[in-house]
Amino acid sequence: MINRIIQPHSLIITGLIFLFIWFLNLIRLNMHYIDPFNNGLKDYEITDIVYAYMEGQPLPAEETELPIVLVHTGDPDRAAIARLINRLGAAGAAAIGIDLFFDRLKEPKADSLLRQSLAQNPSVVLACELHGLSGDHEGFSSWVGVDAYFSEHAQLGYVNFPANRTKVIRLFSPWEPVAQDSIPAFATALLEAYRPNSTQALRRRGKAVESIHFARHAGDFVHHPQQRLLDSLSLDEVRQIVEGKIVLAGYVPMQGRGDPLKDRHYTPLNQSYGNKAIPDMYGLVIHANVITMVLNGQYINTLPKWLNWAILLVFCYLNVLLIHWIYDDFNEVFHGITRGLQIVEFILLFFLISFLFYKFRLDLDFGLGILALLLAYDIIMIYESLIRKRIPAIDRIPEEIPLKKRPTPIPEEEE
Amino acid sequence: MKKLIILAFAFCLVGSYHRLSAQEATVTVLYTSSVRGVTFSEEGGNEKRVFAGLTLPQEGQLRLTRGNTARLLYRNQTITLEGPALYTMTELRQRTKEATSEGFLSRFWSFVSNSIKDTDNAEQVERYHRRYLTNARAGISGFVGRESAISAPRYLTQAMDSPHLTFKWDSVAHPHGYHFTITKETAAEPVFSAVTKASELSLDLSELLLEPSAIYVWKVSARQADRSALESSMYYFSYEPDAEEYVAEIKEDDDFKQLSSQERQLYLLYRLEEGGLLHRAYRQYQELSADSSREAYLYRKLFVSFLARMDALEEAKSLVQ
Repeated sequence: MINRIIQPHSLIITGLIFLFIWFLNLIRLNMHYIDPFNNGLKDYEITDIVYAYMEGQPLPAEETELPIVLVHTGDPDRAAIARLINRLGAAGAAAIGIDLFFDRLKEPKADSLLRQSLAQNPSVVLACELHGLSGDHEGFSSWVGVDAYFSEHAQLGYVNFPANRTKVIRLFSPWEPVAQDSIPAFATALLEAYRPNSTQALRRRGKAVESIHFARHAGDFVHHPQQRLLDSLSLDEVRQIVEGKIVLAGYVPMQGRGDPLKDRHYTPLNQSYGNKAIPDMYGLVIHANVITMVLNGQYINTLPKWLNWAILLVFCYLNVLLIHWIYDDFNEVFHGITRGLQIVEFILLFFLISFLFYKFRLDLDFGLGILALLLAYDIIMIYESLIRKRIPAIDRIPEEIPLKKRPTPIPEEEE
Repeated sequence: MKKLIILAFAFCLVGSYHRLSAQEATVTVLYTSSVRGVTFSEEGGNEKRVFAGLTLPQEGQLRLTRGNTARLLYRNQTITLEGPALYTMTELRQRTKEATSEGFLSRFWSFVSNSIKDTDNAEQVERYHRRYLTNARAGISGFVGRESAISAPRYLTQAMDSPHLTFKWDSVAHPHGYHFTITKETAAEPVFSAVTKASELSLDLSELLLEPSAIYVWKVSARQADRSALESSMYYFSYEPDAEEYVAEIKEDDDFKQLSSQERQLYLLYRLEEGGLLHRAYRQYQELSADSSREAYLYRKLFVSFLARMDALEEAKSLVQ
């Protein structure tokens, strides 16, 4: 049985496939500008389809708690923001996040009012930006975006997200070293202000970056324009809305209103996952999704790298074994069977990856597996018709590993 | 056999306990287009205004007036509602349960089948371009004011407790008079219709045989010389002759009794407005601000503010002058 599973030629072909993938990867790194296919789908993952088209699984009642309120400030007026902070503080908001930069002093009266409101409400977190990446990429030299006049009286949280040139935001870094210190991300700072032990699990995971579980669009959060909280509702009514909750204030107009490009970013929820689309999510909503993920403990799980690689290798090897067997035993119909097999396997894999992500938030990194599946057919053809015939040393390798045969017992002759 | 019956019984018991202990999901309001046009009422109770962030009780009904929208969250599903309409909570929950019954397999299958259908490439778009012409447009909708041509004060909406009522509206050109109607919300034919030259009409609601607590709509239009018509919005109201009981309940409240006489008046005015008895609050303000005492001056200022909230700006202005 073992000699049927472990076949030297199939092992060599598997090695060749991964060698070829490694070679393709080199091309991708150095020549991506002449690779429109790869460039167009540079930041595409199968799980994006789950986000964009299959999400919406009903949650049990106890998981639907939503302690987040979004407030649209419009074009921010510092005096109005000061009034908003005071009102939210008086109404008992547990944490107030202001996703606006106050990087310069502008008008003495409004600045003074804002500073005073910050001093009176210790649960306010202001947005800042990381600055000055160190040479060894191990930390930042400073933060910018908030004048010291305000930052003295508020907690700070950076609003940077890791993203490549496609600007698709799918990761979040909870803490970053800045100079000799470590400062939290905007969402992390708000969570710590809301419930100090709410970030314990996040710390225990110890990951430098976490994949964001995007569970909600802007319309799935409680949403108010700033003016309504300031003037249209009584303090008692505002209390009913914000008491004990996290309030996120920033630029987040209702759907179809406001500037569709201001502070909007690409996320996996974008239905046009091949890019060339309008950014789909306001920055404030991304922070809200991070907070929801941490509070509900709905992290995205990944397999350890070694296990992922082991699964990839086994998957690729079994495919090579199967296709090789078809090549040897059904040579006439080899093409048809192999192509059919690839399509069926691709659909099954797609289903399995989507299902694991949908049900268990398990992000299986199987891109290489699919590529290996596609390449297996061609590499076997090249190996059999070219390499094996031209290199006699390879051709002399036996088809199966010769195992020592057990001596078969000789039946005793009956007397 | 006996063991089997005991086992089945235990299974049923555990199942029903699990069912009972399962917490019913709440309905949270995520968004309302205004703080005035969306109200909620429990059976036998008054309408309360609804705004984002509130959790609605399990039983009751939600009303949206014309032009208002609301979005609710129930079991992680959002429900968008548009006015004018009246929804019971049971109906809303049922609607969401139906929408969420779709499992992963059917979602996956609908994605795959749609992907098979949506295989249009650039060549196909060029060849059959007319089929694709409605998929994209470069332009935006024109802006238009939402106000109606004829406006009326908002205290002539919601719960009307007095049978004697004067409906008023802003004056516009009316060469053929104003056409005034009262229609039951669910009916096509009006229960009352009249043509008048004045921009107000006094009625005795008790003579119209209106059903108590049923929703009615009043509307006014003025046909113009060119046959076009200027129209008001639809104003929703109910006739509540028993509203005095609600006022009596407020007055019996222990908290109310602990207040000073002036505080009682202010509290009552607040509760009337909150409870949707806007016309009653209007009359109360009129009464309190009628004389020339010092307190009346305060009430007059509050009355002006109330009228401004009720979109009766001309009336508020005349009071200030």
